[in-house]
Amino acid sequence: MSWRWLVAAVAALAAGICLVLLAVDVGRWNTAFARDDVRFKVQPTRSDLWKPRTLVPFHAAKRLLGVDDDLFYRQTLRHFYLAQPRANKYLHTNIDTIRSEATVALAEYIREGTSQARRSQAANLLGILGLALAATDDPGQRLRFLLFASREFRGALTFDQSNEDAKFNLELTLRLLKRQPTSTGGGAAHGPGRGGGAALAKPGHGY
Amino acid sequence: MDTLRSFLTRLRGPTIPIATTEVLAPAVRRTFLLRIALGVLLIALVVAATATGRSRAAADRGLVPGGVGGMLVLDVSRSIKPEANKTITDALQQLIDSHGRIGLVAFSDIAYELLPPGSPTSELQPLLRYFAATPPKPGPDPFLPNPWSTNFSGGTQISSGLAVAHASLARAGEPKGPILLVSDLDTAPDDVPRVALAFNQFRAEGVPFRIVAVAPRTDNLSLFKNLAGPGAFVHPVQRTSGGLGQTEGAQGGHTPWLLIALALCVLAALAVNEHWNGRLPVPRTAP
Repeated sequence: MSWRWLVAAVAALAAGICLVLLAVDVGRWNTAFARDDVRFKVQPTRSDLWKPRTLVPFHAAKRLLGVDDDLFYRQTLRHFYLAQPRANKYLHTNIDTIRSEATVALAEYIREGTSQARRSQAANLLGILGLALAATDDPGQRLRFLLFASREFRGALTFDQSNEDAKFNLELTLRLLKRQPTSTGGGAAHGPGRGGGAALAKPGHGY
Repeated sequence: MDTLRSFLTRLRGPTIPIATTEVLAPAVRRTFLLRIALGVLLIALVVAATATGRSRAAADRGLVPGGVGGMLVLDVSRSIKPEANKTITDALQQLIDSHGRIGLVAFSDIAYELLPPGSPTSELQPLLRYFAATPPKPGPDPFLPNPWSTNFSGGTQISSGLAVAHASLARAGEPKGPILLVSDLDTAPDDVPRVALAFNQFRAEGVPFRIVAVAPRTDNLSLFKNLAGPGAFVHPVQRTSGGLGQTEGAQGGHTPWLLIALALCVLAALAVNEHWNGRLPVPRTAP
């Protein structure tokens, strides 16, 4: 009989230790979010952001807290920040590469994110990257990336119709598209405005 | 309760009535611990064997995701070094050996369709000679020329190859057909965003794609791992003795020794379990 009590005591002790370690990990995650959000503003290039050292394996604390989407969103935003959409591509040699990686990260969040509002924001940011990539001398490439940007801004509005940034950016993109020469020579670009709506509407009226 | 007890007694079979179980306590403890240890060992062995078998099955499925059909997008640009021909030959030979159907797009700075989707993979056989491993000859052009070496090997625009392959599949009524890219991944810098958009489009539309990296530079490999994901990369089965026109199966000569060893370990653990933890056989005797 005594050895059963011993086994039960050892099991209870082990469970208690696991729970204490789990509690420590939960605290570390809480600290990591608060601390690294501030760090990101100062040193966004740090690669160790939002990666606390945990004690319990298999990401138990992270799963328990359900912070996957928060983490995923922060890392996606970091990719966008590093892509420097306002930077001059001729002054930064590998900026297109970083922007390409950011487009992949943003597209991944749009596919797999759980919050509609955040997916809308990610689509808006992806469209902004499209606009950044459209800053090229090649007219074909410019048109291609402008069409891509307009598609992403529309996607942002399908996720969240109240996304004012996406509405503004879509209107801006459609204005730029109207200025693009077509293969038939002059006129509005074919593509997003073909079906009517914002591309053919006067600026500032409807989407 | 009594009914349950009598049912369990019937289920257990005949038992030896003894006055006390105290004397059996050490044996019960030992058997209990042994059962747990053997149970854990068996589970671990079965999991390991399953994982080994699964990875082998994945290798057996071949290079093209899904195993059938699709499009091969082959880089024929000048950046492909002759040293990389072995990998290309392995990939082509593995596809030929699969006796499936596939299309072929060759690309450099532009892309064109060499074989339409659904062509027998045996149609790739004539291409093997252009990628045959030959020793360099002395002179200004040490390697044998191929049809693309003079006019069709300017830059590298991987996105053009991917776009042509996807368009071909869409025309053939397979818009979600798999795509296999065989390239050194040394695409032009301005092509990187287009490649990223192509991969994004494939993922969004559910188009499976895989990459065979042919002697890539480290930075290019790292970039494409970021763009396509590390899971997109596959390696052709290396042939033990390469040779033109060789018809031996690509998997020939590869015995799954690890799987066999794990299976034997599982059998041994089961035997030990039966030997040490099995019920004590009590021969039925006539009353």
